[in-house]
Amino acid sequence: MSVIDQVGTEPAAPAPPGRPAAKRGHPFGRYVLRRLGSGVLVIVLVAVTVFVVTRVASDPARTLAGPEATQEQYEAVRASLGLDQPLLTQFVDYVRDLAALDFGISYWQNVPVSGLIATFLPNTVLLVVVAILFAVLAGIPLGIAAALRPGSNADQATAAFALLGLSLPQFWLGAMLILLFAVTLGWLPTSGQGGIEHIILPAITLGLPSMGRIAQITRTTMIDELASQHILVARAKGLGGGYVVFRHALRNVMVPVTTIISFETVYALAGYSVIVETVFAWPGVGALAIQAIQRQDLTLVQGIVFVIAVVVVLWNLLTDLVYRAIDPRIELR
Amino acid sequence: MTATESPVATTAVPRRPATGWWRSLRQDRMAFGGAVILGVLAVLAIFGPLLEPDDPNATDLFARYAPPVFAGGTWEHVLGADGLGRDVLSRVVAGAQMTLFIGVSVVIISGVVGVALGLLAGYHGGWVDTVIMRVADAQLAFPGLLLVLLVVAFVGPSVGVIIGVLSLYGWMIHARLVRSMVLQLRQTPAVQSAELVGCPLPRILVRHLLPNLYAPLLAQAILELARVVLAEASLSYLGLGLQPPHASWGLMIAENQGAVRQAWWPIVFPGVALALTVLAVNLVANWLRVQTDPQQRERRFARRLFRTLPAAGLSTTSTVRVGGKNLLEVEDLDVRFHTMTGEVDAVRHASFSIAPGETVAIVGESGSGKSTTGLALMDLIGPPGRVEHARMTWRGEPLTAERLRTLRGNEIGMVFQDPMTSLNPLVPIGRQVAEVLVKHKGMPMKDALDRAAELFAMVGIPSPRERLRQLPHELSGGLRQRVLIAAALAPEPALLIADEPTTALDATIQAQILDLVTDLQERLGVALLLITHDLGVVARISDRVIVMYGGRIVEEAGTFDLFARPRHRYTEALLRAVPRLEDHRGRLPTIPGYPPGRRDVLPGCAFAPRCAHATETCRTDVPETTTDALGRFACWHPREEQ
Repeated sequence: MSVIDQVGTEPAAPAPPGRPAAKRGHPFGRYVLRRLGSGVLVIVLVAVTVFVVTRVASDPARTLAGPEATQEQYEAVRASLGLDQPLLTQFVDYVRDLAALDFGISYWQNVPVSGLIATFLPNTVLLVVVAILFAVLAGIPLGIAAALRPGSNADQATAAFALLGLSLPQFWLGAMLILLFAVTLGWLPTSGQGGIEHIILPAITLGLPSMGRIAQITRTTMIDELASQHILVARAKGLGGGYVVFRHALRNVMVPVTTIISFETVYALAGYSVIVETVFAWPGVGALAIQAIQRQDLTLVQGIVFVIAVVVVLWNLLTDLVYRAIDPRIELR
Repeated sequence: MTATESPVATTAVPRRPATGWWRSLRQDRMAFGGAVILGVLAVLAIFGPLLEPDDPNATDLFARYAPPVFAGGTWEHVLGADGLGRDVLSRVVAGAQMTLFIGVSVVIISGVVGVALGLLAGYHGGWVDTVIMRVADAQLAFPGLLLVLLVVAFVGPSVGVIIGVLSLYGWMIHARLVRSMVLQLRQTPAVQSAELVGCPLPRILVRHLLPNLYAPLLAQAILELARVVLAEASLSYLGLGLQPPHASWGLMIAENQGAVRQAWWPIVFPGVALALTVLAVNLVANWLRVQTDPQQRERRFARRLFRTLPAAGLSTTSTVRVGGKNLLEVEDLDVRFHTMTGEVDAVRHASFSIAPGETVAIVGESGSGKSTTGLALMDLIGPPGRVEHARMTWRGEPLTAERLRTLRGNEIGMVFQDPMTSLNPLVPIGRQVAEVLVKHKGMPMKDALDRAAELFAMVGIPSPRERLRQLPHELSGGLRQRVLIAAALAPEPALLIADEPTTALDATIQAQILDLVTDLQERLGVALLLITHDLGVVARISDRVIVMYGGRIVEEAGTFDLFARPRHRYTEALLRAVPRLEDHRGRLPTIPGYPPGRRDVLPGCAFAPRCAHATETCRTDVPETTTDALGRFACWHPREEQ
């Protein structure tokens, strides 16, 4: 029997008041609604930007009809695009079609835009998921390793590697990887889609800058975290170094790192995938968007931009929920 | 961290004068390299046309794919030529010019727009603020290159359009920073009172805000430059940026990518230039960021220094008084902080002991070295601090660093000053107690949690079972300190070190926690080392008192004797400064002057400058310690019995 048992239970001291009981209503439902609201705002802004850029700031009919077109031919193209209508009518039609997820027919491919996107989008998502997985699985351990001995050679090497990763332009990095592993060594295919070997180079190219940034954020937040009071207390409790780092510090480090991972995913999806898919001829919506832009395929371009915006908004919403699961302190305002 | 309480210098050896930014840049080799590269780029951009060996657009069909000079080429085309026979070096130089022109323009435009909108949002508030920040959030939520591509594709890829579109994509980060700083500034009493006396806010903002904004804005702008350079290159590579015959690094790579098997140089060199530029920018930005974090600089500096210093720490070779009855004996504890501006001795030659079940108090002002002593006993001093020397015994046996590690948190528990930051905010409190039992007693987690509930009840936490799964933010400061006490007492330690355990709490809670600690201590038979500046607490609970000043133990005696007959002049002054209810002397006497700062060089008694009895000896020689039946003291002119 231990000594403490003999002490028995302390008569309950008048405990200082804790936090008041949970608020009434459904704060979680309100939170989701609020996040959805700002997501809708993003989609609206994207839709308006696309509209202004494609119909007010430029004249796609002129480009499509070609420089040698007569005034009649030009008018015919304009009418077929509906660009001869008043702007307001155009905008109402545009919004109605978007709301119905009807993006029209691609001029270039002459098939419905939604069908094209449905074919190409999964490839982009696959590439982004593999790339971000690589970035996370390599970046977080690198960041932790560097943070354990700040200023050491290991730290400097990691910092240099992370910096290099985020400094290399992706189109050039992709070209160099192709030159080395596909052309010179012949280990991996240069481009296209197929077996698992086809995704290695594009995923590394897409993920490397993200890996660098994730490693940097992990490193700096881990260094701050390891200097915090509660980590000192954990060490005073005699807990081992590994336990302190992984069970105590890492949990707190993951809060800002999750934000960065979410950001990186959005960047990859709505930006860098365009470049990487083009370099590796990966059949995703990014490469498709570039081809659509080159052919002035208005409906296809706006369809892609709109769908990506929706995917990004849904992703941001998902991240908000994950974020709250990691850090329950976040107020459901 | 408790050790942030500034350690005190008794002998501060100035190492080097404060380092300026130039020296600090020189010391950081990577950042210096980055700055050099940026300098070279700036020179290329400004004097580019004079430095290009050749007209970047001059085609020479005889030199098509001429290799660089080190790959068998001629000096005419040092880095080779491309498919049209254009000189690669000249085109890389011309590309630098274009890249930096676009990059700097964008950074300036988005900076000006961002600062202006941020000022407007923060200054005006209300709906203006809402609209600006909503748009910024929306843009940040969809930061895709895709929209940039769309605009450039439909509006036309001229240099002006590219600069405009990229500027539109960077203003938000500046606006956010400026806005939050304006809001912060408006909260400060200085600005609020300036507003109150009718000073116009815009003038206040210019006077107070801009100087503070300078450094963070610069760091942000530099990082932005890296992003813009990459974005412009990517656009040009995709054929949607600069158009031929412009020399852009991205364009050069795109133009020559098809012939990569034939000639690698036209795509490798512009790529290297691009990567080096972005790398250099990032290196300088990183350095700027570290500059703004002095704590990190100190730690980094100390870590490097430690590698060059001889090893230090617990010495076991010549342990004295082995086999004594005391629980813990400490001899000659020296703790030194190796800061960038000099060495600071936080604790000097501290020796003391604690018997089983005894309550010993260490008292002293902030910076007297008392908290550092507590941390040193647990071997928890981190850079820039270091235990230079100490001999310790535990239950009569020499204490090595390895042995101490098994005692820490097990036989020696510690409770800290600030319960608000001492618990991990994301780990349930039950677990934070139970993990100690899992570690030291080998209990399974489930049993340990049951035990944690019992411990919670013992330290007076109501409904302990339900609390196990709660997170620290759901508890008040007093309850959190009870959790921490439970964690420290869980493995039934023989010694509890309590470093100002009640300082951060309300007066009523202070009394409760103190009662709890002393009550548990008596019942469990734990020895208590109480670190405090509260003499009232000392008088109430301690058996023996150790007085510290300027990093040294200046007096030690039984509590009654110390209060009745202080010998050291500092102790005497300290006791006189304690308010008493029955006292009607009028003004409360205080000790004149200030405790020694970390830069003070005091070869003699650290208290001499504030002491009414100090003589020349006091200022030049460290007082010898006199030991007698009552205790010990280190004073040249001790208070005599009256």
